[in-house]
Amino acid sequence: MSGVKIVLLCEDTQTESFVRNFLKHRKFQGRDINTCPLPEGSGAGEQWVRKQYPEELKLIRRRENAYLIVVIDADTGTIDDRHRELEIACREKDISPRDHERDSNVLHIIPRRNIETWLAYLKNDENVDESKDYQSLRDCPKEDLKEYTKSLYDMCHVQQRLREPAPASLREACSEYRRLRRRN
Amino acid sequence: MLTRLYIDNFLCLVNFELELDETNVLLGSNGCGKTSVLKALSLLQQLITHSAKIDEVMSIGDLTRWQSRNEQRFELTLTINESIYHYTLVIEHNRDRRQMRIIKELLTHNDQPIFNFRDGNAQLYHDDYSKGPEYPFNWSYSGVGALNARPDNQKLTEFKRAISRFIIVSPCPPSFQAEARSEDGFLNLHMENFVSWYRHVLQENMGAIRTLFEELEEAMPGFDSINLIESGENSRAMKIGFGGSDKNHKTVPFRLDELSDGQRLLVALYSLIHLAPSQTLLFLDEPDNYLALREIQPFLVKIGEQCGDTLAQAVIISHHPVTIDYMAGARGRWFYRDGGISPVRVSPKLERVTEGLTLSKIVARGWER
Repeated sequence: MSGVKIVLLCEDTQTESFVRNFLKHRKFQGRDINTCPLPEGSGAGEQWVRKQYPEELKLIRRRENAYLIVVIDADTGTIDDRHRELEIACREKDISPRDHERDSNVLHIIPRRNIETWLAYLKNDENVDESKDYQSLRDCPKEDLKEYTKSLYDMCHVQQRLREPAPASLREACSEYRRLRRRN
Repeated sequence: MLTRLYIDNFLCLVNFELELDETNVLLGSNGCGKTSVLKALSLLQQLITHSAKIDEVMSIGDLTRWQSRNEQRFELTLTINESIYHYTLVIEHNRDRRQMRIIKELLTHNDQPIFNFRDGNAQLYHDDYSKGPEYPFNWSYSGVGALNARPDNQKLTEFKRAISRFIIVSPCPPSFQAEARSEDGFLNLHMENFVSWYRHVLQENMGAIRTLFEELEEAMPGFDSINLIESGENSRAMKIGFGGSDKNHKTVPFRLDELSDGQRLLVALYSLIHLAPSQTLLFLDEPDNYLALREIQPFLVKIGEQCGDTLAQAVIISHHPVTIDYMAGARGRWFYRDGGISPVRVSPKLERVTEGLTLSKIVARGWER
């Protein structure tokens, strides 16, 4: 039994299920992924991830053959805002921020507005609005989640092309995802 | 799915209400009433589906010690196929004679009565809610439990079937027996009869064995298979085969009681998840006690995945930091008591959260209040 291949830092259980379901298509199974403690209740997820991130970044740098996947909602801000905030969180703890080349095993996945926006797109909604909060998809049934992640895997991994018009944040996440190499 | 539970005047549970989701973890200090909730559910299951006599499953000692009232009340709300069943049971104790009797038992389906027992008389209802016969009934038994399935009481039968699908266990792997002389559809509290249960469910769910083996291959390096080998007249012993990393190595079988406690528990827990009858409601008291740290999150992830699929619901009691940090944020039910003779209260959130600390660390430091 080898060690954990992916450390997942995310805001809530729906995001965790989304990522785990997606990664199953890449043959990452339960024991390959370790989810960092999830925050208490809802609402404070983004702050929680930002707080935990520098320490996890520091730890993953000490490991070969392991990835850190950070999923943090952009909410009403921009993706660049979140990248910047993660960078600041690192500097505040005297940890050098992610270096695109050196930290090739660190993935920043930033849905805008949140993961539900992507679910709306994967549910075949046309013209998804990334500033809108798709609250009705907050407790997405498991079967639907499986279907949506399969659809995303087909587009993002197999065809390497998203159905247009695609949310810009998802396009960026797919490009970030290409950093992930399956290692045994 | 069990969505609500109300208990009054039973052990430390007084005017106690618990709302549940598909998966929950019950948390709190020792003596906070978590296990009492499972005891109440087990008691109701025995009354309703095993036709147990009331004084076989209860005693005067089950009344809340610091209460002088003689009535105990239990209420369950279950959602089954979008129907809402509400069950009420009221028991009256006679402290002097150390006797007890059922004084009220009511089952409703979408707020319409489908069984009503009161003052010694049972009123039956048909599936269209029209009144059926009324008859005197024994105060010592559940009237719902005594009714057999008929074409015109399918709603009541559906409720009973859901209660029969409760699996309530507090696994204790050192006491697992490796041999089974018979099949058993009902698991004991500490799962001593796990192998008998396995023999039974295997017949019903042979198709899931492959998934179970795949799961155990991941959890226990070298795992190869589980076999039930004849070990005397009508007796079968559970043997778990392990192979070496080299495929040419012969598989070596070990009896269940030759495995470590943690390995026995892995076999039992994944059997529960994959072989339990469809739509089982699983109540597990501290299943993480014997598991290696590395195994706890994968087990919880698997439970979460199977809920709504093969499992209808899973409720776990835990003190383990890994479980607390993984589940308590979104799916916790925190039990509180102010002292030894105070009632139990429940909250979905900690009273106080210390920023920057994980939930398990907050609890370990006692900073939750």
